[in-house]
Amino acid sequence: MTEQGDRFFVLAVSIAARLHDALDDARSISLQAMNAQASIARAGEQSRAMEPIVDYMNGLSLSIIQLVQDVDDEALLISRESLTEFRESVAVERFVDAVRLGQGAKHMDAIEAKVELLRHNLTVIRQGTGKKISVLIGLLSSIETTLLSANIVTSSFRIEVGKLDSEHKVTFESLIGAFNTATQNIRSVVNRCKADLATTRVLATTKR
Amino acid sequence: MKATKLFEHYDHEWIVFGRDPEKPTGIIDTNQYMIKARGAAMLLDPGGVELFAPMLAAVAQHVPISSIKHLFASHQDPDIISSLGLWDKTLEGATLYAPWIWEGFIKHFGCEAIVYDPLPDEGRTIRFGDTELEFVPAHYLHSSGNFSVYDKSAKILMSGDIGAALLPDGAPFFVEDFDTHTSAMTMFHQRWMPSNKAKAAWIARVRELDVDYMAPQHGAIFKGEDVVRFLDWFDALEVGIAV
Ligand SMILES: [Fe+2]
Ligand SMILES: [Fe+2]
Repeated sequence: MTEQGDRFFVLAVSIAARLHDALDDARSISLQAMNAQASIARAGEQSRAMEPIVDYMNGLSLSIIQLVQDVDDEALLISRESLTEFRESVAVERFVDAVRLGQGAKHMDAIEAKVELLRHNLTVIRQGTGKKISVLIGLLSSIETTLLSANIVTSSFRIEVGKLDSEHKVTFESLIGAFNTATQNIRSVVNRCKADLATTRVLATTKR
Repeated sequence: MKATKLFEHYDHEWIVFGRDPEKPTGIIDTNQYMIKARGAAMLLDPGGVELFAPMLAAVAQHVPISSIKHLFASHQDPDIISSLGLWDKTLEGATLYAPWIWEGFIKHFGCEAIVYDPLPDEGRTIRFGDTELEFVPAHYLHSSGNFSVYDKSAKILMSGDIGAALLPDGAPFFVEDFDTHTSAMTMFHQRWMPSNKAKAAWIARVRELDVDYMAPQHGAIFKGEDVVRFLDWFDALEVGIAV
């Protein structure tokens, strides 16, 4: 495989695998939020203040799930395109060999023109992959922003939980704990994906 | 890639390509054939992906690429047609004649621009320039969907893997001594060909044809009397022995 095609293919596959875990975590956040909504209903009047916070938390988890799925789709497209790029670059190599071997042959003009056309196609495919990588980076940043909002929400939630009596406090504190763990996991997955992307991009541009 | 003219009569030609000095080690040597007639060209068993570049360069010595409108694959093996995906990027408006049973398989090599024309089991005859090309059934020799090609005017039978010999690099293009040549053919035919019945049917068909050259995909080409010698030798050979 070519340097770029090879690296982007591996990258896309590894991102897709990592996101599988992130998706589990995002789903668990959503589940925590739903549990919190049920607990609020049980706790009655004294936990009313927490209701909008929990709703917001649920909304955040749903948008994280959506973003993770979008990243996954994008990674799949990138892996497909990397394979196309691989096939096309192998073809270019074979045609370049033919031009070298056929130097001076009577009917080489058409083959030389073919090489140029294939080279052009390859450039277009590479540009397409580059654009998809940018979209991927954008999606990862959106996940980060969403996680940041989740942090703020958790802080307000903690303050509200502090006002509750001890029985309900325990339930909600454990929810906050689970929510925090899930967001931390997603954050570290996103960071690892971003680090992989940065390395791959640098290698792809230097090796091209 | 070396090239030799097998036949020439006005604008009707047969050229064999092979014995490529740049061939990567470890892959079996193959003969590729080209028929030219009335400005059109057909490649027969155009070869594996590893040989595409030397083949394209060699072909460009003889014809403009735009004149290659026909390909033939005797069967589905990679040494026969794994270059298809690259020819697909090279040729415009071309048709591939190949056994119908392999259509869904051969297309895995890449066949978007080239039209796959599936050959029925009983074979078919097409007009090519001023000659007729007959796709002669050779099923189970060795592939379960397999054809030879017979050119009526040139009296050449392209026999695919039938008549193949495993020869050292750079061996001559033609059989020089039939009796010593059989030692390079015996194992190939006994091990790769599965059916005595299929063998007998093909031999009977070919005995009906007037053949000056029998041109296999591996090894050396049989001329004149050696064609009949080959048919007799093959007739007497027990095949499908690895059971
Ligand atoms: Fe074969
Ligand atoms: Fe073969």
